[in-house]
Amino acid sequence: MTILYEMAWRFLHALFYVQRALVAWFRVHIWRWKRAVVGLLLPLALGLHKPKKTGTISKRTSRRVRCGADGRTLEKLPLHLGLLITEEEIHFTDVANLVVWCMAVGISYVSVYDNQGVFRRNNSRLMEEILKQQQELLGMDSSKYSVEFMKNGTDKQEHQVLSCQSVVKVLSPDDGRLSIVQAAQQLCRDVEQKEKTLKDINVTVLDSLLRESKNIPDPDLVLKFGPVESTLGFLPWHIRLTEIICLDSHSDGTHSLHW
Amino acid sequence: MSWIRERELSFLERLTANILKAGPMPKHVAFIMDGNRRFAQKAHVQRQEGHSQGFEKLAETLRWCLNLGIHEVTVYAFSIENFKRSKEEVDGLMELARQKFSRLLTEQENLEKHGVCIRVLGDLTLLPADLQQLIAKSVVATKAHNKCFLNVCFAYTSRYEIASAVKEMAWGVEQGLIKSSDVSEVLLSECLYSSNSPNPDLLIRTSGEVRLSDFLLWQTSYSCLVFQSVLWPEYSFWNLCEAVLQYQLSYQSLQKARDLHREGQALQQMEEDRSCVAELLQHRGNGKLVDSQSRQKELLNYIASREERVRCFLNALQMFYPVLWGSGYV
Repeated sequence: MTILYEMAWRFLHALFYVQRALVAWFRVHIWRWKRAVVGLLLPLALGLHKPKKTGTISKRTSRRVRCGADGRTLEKLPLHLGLLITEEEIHFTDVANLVVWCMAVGISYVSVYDNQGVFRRNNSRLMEEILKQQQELLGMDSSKYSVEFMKNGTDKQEHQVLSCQSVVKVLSPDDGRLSIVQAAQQLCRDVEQKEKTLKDINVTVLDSLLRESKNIPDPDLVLKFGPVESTLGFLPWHIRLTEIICLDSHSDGTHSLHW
Repeated sequence: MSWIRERELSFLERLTANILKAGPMPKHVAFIMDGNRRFAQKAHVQRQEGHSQGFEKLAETLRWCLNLGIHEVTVYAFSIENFKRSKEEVDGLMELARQKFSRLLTEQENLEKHGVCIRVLGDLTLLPADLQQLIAKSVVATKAHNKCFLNVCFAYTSRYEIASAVKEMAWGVEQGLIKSSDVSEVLLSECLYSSNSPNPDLLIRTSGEVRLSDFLLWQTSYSCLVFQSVLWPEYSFWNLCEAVLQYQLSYQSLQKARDLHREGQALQQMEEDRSCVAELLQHRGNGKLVDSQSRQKELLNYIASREERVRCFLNALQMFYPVLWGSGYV
């Protein structure tokens, strides 16, 4: 009897894997088809931009216009948006695209996270990609948008001079539980050295300590990419009220998101 | 028994349960039972009735969990934030809690039969005194049971829980039981309200909200999160199966992530121990160089003494915990 149940279970899971694969395949193809259609119709609609190659429409144009269009259709923007990549294979260009899209739409703080610390280790590579994509996608508008990269410990108080300034932060699991532990150690040291009493330790004090090291507001929204249904250690303290939206893949290309 | 519905599964439900059980099953499931008020609005009944139905659904869900072999359940019954609701609603919820806990105390036989251990997690000092007493009695009455565990988060928020765990460790440091360098992820976990439970494998939130709302933020870092749009009083066995299936699909990746995290934790601890030993040797040494063998020996001694300190601290916490909070010392 147990063997029968096991077989049924395997069959059920096989069905799910097939369904996921089919959906993923469909999405890629439908996106390509959509892009082709948009590419064809756009110049007719705009009536200006000359395609770089005759006969084909530069994908940059369609993306550029879409970025702006998305911004106008979004009613309420999050102050801080987190990009949580749970996929094993990470494409830096696609992530950079997402970040630039966030900037174009007017999101002030964007954080990028993966639980293996890949982004943290390849911080400069990600920065380069972002700057490259910023140039490519935003073209002549890119001077309006400036991006500030934040690394832990060396942050100075950033000034919101331009309204289009965005702050990009790369995060890893060390910024999660480990940061809380470090804050706890600090408070315990203060108690050890009689600088604080037990009554001085509460949620507010702990919160301000954690905020000091991060210098970034709590995420309002997290876009989780990949099939793993978990936050995988992303800023546990800060995601108290964060909305978590699950998307399938960061290599998707469809940036028309509404919430 | 009022807290666990006495109803067996139908044939189809049993079949599905058996098929699911052929794969990895969560051992501990957490529920954010959201949607009582919306259900009341939808069904054109009083909010109080919505909450009451919500409790009945909890009893039913506990039965399903037991049938699926899930022996530990944690539920978010009342947040510290909920105190901001209307006095009428808050009083209504407190009254519901009084009724349910009083009823529980009259069902000792059934509790023993099912081996249910009830724990209530939260800042209970915020509750009316009579409710605190009822809760204390229920917890004490079921303390020795170990077949299944129900953790009810009442007057709870995760940030408050983490802050109070930090406070407990600070107490340990103040009393000289531990050093501030002994503070670690593992120790913090041991000081949380949920220290007697493993981390939840699966967290389910109903009513379509996609937030954690200050619930088990520390403990669910590597849990499977399932957001379902059904309102809590309308929750069905099939909804639960759907969530368990989701858990099974994410199982491999979650195990991998957890193992990676554990490795990172161990490395972190080793680094911390090494730097403490280095500091110790520097203080002790008179400029003499220490060979690697002695350094290794010192490291092992240090780890042993740290573990002993932590053990004593946790014992002391068990003994003094109820007294400390009651006295307002912390």
